[in-house]
Amino acid sequence: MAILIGQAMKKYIENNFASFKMDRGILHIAYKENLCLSLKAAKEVVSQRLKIQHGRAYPIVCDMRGIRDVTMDAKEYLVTEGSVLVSALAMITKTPLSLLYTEIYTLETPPITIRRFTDESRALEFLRPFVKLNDL
Amino acid sequence: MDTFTNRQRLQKINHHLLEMVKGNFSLRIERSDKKDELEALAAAINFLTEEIQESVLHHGYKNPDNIFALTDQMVFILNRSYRILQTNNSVKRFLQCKQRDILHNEFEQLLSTDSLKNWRETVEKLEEQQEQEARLRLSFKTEKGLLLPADCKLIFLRGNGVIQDKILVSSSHILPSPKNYELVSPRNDEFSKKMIQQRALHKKHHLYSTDIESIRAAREFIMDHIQGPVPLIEIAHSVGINEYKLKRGFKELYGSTVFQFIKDQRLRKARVLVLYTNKSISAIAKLVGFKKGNHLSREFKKLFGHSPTQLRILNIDHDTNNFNTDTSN
Repeated sequence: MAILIGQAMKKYIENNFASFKMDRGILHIAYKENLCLSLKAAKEVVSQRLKIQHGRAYPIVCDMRGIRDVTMDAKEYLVTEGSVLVSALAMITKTPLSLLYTEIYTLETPPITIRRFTDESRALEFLRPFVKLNDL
Repeated sequence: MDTFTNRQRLQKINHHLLEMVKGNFSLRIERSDKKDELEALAAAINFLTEEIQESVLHHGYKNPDNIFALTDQMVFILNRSYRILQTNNSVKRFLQCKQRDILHNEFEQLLSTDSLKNWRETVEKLEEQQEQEARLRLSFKTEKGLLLPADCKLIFLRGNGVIQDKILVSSSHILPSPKNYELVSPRNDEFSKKMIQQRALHKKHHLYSTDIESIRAAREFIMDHIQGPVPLIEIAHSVGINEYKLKRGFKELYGSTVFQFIKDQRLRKARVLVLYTNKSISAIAKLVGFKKGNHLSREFKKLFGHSPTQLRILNIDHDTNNFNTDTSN
């Protein structure tokens, strides 16, 4: 497993449901286009994320635009198991559909700091105070 | 063209809402690949329908004298080319179609686009592995273009005689409203009697809408404080109701006691930390809100059947998906 060295180094991985990129102490997750987020997909996304994080909490920016549908059990999984080791969450929503899914998710009040954004740079600005110095 | 498509999408939403008015919460609006306001509306209505359906189901379980009146099945018999040979009458009722319109057609024609992949993969697997049966979730298309999602059972009949080389597909459903259908005899066993007595007792403690709001707020309070100690009295005070009402109302609304809910939430989080991190059990215990590692281990084993350490050992081989380094960006 590679170790982060300096600001220039980034890490990237993707599975069938999303891509994951660690950059300057912030984890970027982007769901794949036209994704139906089932319980199976939610489990794989959470397990992949936790493997990347190695037991540390990170601020996360999550691009919701690819999601076409979310099942009820997937939503419940993301609210409970999906909130583990997340220091703050910025959700990127640019379509009415992705906005709806973020609203439904936040209605369940997962125990983390969450904000919605349409602009990624503002989302990163919001997350920056949550980055730990040794993750830079 | 867009106006025409949007009109069709609105018609489906309209049909769906009319079905809901009739008390039918089994159907869903078929989703398109668009991401506009109309699609968000369809998704929101589907979520709402599922919430209501779950609530109806919950009440069904709480009313055991009518429990069997609330369920029905669709049954299809297919040949080896997956064409429909026979169905039961419930197919007509659930898919709102005439039996003669679907007989001898391909079974796949009844399925939504999303379900087709799942169906083909399952059938292929059964054919290849010579297995007899499988469970799968399928969405059927109704005549008015709505979807009927259902947990189905697929059985390959490989015996001799008339059943040879036939395929049986069955699905279970909650009926739209028991009053519209012939009632099956009520259950009359000891369990039902006990449940009816309990229900009569519960009626004395009716929950008002303000209580429901408070109990929902209590759930939010719990979720916000789940990592630390959450005494019942503190939860009750934070939402302005007494402990007795909180205890009874929470169980009524969410189907578990406050303590069970807190414990389950903590254990579910602990499980993913055990599986996908290398943190020590005591560190995980502290992170999710247990005082000590051995307390977590004990409760963990009760719920999941393995201690955290056993589970970690059992799943160690799956943990092979490493994170690649990419310095090109």
